Amino acid sequence: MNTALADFFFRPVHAANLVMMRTICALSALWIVLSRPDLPSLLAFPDVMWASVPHAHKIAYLLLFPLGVERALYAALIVLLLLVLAGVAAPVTCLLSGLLLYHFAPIETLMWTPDPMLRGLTLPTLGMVIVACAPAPGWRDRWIRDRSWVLPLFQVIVAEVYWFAGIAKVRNAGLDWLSSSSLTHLILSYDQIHGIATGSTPLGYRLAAHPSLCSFVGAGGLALELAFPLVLVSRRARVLFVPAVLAMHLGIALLMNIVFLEAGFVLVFVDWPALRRRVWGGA
Amino acid sequence: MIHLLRLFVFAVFVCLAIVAQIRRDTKSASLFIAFVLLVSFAAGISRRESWPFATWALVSGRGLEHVVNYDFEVSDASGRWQRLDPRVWQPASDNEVLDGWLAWHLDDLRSDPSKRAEFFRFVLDRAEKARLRVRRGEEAGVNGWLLRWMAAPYAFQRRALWTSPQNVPSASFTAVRLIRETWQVEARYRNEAAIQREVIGEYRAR
Repeated sequence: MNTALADFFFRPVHAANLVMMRTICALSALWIVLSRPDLPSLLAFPDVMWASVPHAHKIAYLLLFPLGVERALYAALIVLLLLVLAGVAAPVTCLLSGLLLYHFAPIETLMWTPDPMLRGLTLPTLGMVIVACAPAPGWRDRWIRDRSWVLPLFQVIVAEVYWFAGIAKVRNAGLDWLSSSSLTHLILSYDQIHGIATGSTPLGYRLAAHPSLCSFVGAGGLALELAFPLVLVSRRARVLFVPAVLAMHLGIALLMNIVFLEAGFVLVFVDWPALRRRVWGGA
Repeated sequence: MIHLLRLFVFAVFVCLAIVAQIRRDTKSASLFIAFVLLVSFAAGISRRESWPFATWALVSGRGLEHVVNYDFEVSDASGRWQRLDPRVWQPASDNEVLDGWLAWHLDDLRSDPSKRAEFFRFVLDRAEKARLRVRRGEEAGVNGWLLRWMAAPYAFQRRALWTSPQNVPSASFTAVRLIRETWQVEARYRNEAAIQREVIGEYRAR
């Protein structure tokens, strides 16, 4: 590994930031899992809906157990995530949580697609396995050098989310993305499909009435996504881009009723001890 | 076969993580880091998912000009039809069922009456259970029973319709029909009523 990469991955990290990464992963996963408390019951949907799912898809996610066993495993996942939050036997509980998240996340989409991206459990699954490599620091620990690479590695994964989203827009829509009609049609079509176009004039309809503003918003979002990896190396970029990305997700939710369930993961770029010093003072 | 390859990729990911955790040396860590970077970049650049290594191609295409939308309507014995609340599908999302599974398997349903009847019975049963919940003053869907209003929404979801007991009939649902709606986005923007509707399947409980 060359020196610059080694400096990036093997620098010491503050224990609090590692604990926060683990907490964000566990909380995010727990939020989704507790929000779909009967997720395994999808396996009991009628045969006509499951008949088209290739057996290989079920094998790939080890969805091979009877419903009763799946429900017990789902309960075990909830317990494991609570243990991760409490910091109990963190490497083992993190790893087992990651394995069970891999097992359960695709149930939601498998009848249609075996790729449950955007359903809220992709980053938690990756994060749980990665953070399982880390030591289990407590809140009172300070700097960590042993396996500190866990945090920068996961930060790269989170940065990729936005960078690849930007790249996909450039590849799929090209310069059309910057035209007012592209974003206007996206906003209007999602407003209309999601049924938020009925009743009072939705925010998306109001924005669509201003083509140049649509163009500006589209270009701004694309620029933010493409430049987002700068947060990996620049503190100034982190201060600027993390709130900007959260604002972008809020805007998308208001305009199109599309909710990016993993938006909270940008908080892994926050330097929590520095923020605490800034807010409450002290060393 | 490609899906079993994905299982293999995930298995290697987990194994390398365990090795890095146990050995705690730079070599194991570097191997794990290199693997994660390689696979995540390969998924993003090639646009081939190897979940949980995702492509992250979030809403990235050109905006739609023409929309085709599938949904269901249900009625009680009085024959008054109303739109199915999207939360009826929970813990599945309406997006997975209507825009995903149904849109892809419509031809199968149309060509096979027994499959169609099985599926419509299922829809009617779920609608009836949701109606009873709403009449009791509960949510139409099942996702919120633990976290209530804090429950995570779906990434893509239609607007909730049955928000009070008055939104559903007091009598049981007895029929369900599948409708296809099509519209031009610009035309509907100017005139909300510019939608073509077609009933493409109906089922009545005996």
